[in-house]
Amino acid sequence: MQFYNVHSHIFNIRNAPKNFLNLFLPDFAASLVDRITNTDAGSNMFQMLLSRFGGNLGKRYASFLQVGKSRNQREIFENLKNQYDDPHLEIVALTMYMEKCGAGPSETGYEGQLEGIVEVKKENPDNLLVFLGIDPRWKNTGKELKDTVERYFETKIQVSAERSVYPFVGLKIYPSLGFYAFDEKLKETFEWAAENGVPVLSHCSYLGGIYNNDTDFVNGSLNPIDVYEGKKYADTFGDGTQPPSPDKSTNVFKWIFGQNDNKRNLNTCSYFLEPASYRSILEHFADKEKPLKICLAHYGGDNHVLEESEGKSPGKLYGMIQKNWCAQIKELIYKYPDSVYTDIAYTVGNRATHCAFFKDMKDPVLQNRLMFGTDFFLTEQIIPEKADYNTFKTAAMNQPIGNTNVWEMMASKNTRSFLTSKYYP
Amino acid sequence: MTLPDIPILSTAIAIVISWALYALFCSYILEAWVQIKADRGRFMKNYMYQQLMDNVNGINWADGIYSHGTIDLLSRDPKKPSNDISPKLFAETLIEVVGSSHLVQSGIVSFKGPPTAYQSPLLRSFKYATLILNTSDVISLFRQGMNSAEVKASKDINGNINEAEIHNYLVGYFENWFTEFTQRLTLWYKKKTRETLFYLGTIVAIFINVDSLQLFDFYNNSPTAVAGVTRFYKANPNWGSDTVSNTQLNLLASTLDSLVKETKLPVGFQHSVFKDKTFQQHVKSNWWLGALKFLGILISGFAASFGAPFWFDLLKKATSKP
Repeated sequence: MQFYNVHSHIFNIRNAPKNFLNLFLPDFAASLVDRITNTDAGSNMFQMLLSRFGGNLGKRYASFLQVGKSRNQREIFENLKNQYDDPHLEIVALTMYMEKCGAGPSETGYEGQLEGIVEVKKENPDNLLVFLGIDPRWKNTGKELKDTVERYFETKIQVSAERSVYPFVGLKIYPSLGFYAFDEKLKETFEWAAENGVPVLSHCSYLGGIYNNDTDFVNGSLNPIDVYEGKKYADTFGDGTQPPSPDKSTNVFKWIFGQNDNKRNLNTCSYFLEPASYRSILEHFADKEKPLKICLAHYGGDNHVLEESEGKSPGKLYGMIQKNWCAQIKELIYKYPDSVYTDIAYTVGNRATHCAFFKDMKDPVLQNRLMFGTDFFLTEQIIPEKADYNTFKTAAMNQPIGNTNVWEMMASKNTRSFLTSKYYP
Repeated sequence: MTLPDIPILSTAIAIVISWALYALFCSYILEAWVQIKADRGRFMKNYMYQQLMDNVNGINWADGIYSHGTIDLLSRDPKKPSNDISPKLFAETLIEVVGSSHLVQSGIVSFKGPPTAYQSPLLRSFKYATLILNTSDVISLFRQGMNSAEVKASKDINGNINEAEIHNYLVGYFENWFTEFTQRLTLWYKKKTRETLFYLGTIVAIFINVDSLQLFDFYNNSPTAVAGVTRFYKANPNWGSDTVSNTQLNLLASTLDSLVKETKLPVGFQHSVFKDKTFQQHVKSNWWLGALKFLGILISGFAASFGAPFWFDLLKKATSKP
């Protein structure tokens, strides 16, 4: 049986925005940390400090320091692969377009990131499955974007004299970088993806991950036209609905350190990610012969998974619907069972969530939609990949479902169904 | 009669000798740091990334070059890139990286222009790269290289161009570019080193009290010290030369220490602003003393930034007989 990790990253610091660290730290500290972490000793010291005192985002950046400063994507992938006892495991690596997230361009350029991962794919054609990150701002028009994507997918790469393979098997979007999934420029590409069975994986974790730090851009992009509905986003929730409003709160401590905008942008960018914003796309493709396969990753995030499982109220949320994100994802799965998937990447690092997953895997609809992923390498400071994988695998194998078990469903059957396309037959 | 024989200049010569030795001392510290950090390799890599960033096409060709096995395997440690890349290796790797990139290969499929007729896949792909990729400063360089090679290469009686010659000319073109680039890089690195030496020289001067104004005053009032320092220089004329052996280099610290003791120079941590109680008391009542100390230390920093060879060269000219 073929097993998969459906969610990992292998980009390095040169693929990330030059001011990536400024998303997490005040400017003066970011500059200092960047210089000091160029040495092993400095890097180790900051990893320790960020892991202990940096909160969730700090831990993510600490992981970035630990792994992301590797020489290249090849080295990171080797590091990842070596942590598994299954040499045949197929790992999905998600590329990310981060050039326009208000933290400056990357050193390699986005196409440079893609070249790097294609080289790794050439060396690991049977272990690495690459998702192409797309963003409406990557190309000038929707057609240009779709043509570029199609060209990148269609051009096989030569791995030996007798063998060539498709380099990409899926698409990745990261809406909190400043756009909605219903963006007009993505529509043609999604239609092409649906036609060819190409899966789309979207980041979908409440206040988790990176965001767009260009305040004016973010605040000005909150209520665009939903191209699938033909009206303003807020109006898709009923005429007269209040449009999304940016977070304008002030935190004195963060203000002193010049971080108030960062925190507010993180909150505001939640609107782009909210599961409810995918309704119109799913409705559009539900009418088609071939629905779009879309994975709303992270299952909403560990806090929402736990709160949903315990029946707790999520409190005030930055979103159009004041409803737990895990619950929103479940609703979408029930409503569009041919389209929507979710994965437990990053969330799985919190062991308390495992019981909730196992409970959901008893549901006849959900049990075909949950997939295993880890979110390497952003999880390394929380739980090392090997421990994350082994812990969940062991627990999931002890959860029977008919003739099979949770592990086989999540890490094999469901993921296989999600990935199957013209490019991964 | 030479310059040192003129009494009024002997103090100045002693100061210059002190600066030369201090610059040498700072250079050794810096060199050790540079070796540990593989600073030259990093410097070169950073500039390569800067120069070969093709913003228009969204790709940094330097990343492809440094990830390519031919270059990647030259570095001893992931964080210590090599600064010793031959122009030929660079040129051949660049041509392959550009031509084989997925950006170019995927563009060939949809290219609507006339097909290129090269038999060699390497040349064909590179030629396509110059046709497909959007115009940028980096792509202009590639195009000029290709055009130049095509113009220079000979043709047979049927008008077929000699592909081996094109390849050689193309490699030669990028070799020349890389040679010029590395020459400029050397100059940029020297500027950076000078700046670093200034900061290092200033910081070290604070800790071991290399105060040029105080030294000048000291030499002015101590002919014995002047004689001692001058004698030391005459006995060790090769300290500043490139041919100095490693054994001699290792002896520098201990030799300087004995020189300081012999001449009773006010240099060393015990004379620093952190330990000198007399200075600490005086500076409280007279801030001018503090300003002079700061100025003296800055002058030492400047002296260190010029580098030891500059001072030893100056000394050689000043002390040689006409």
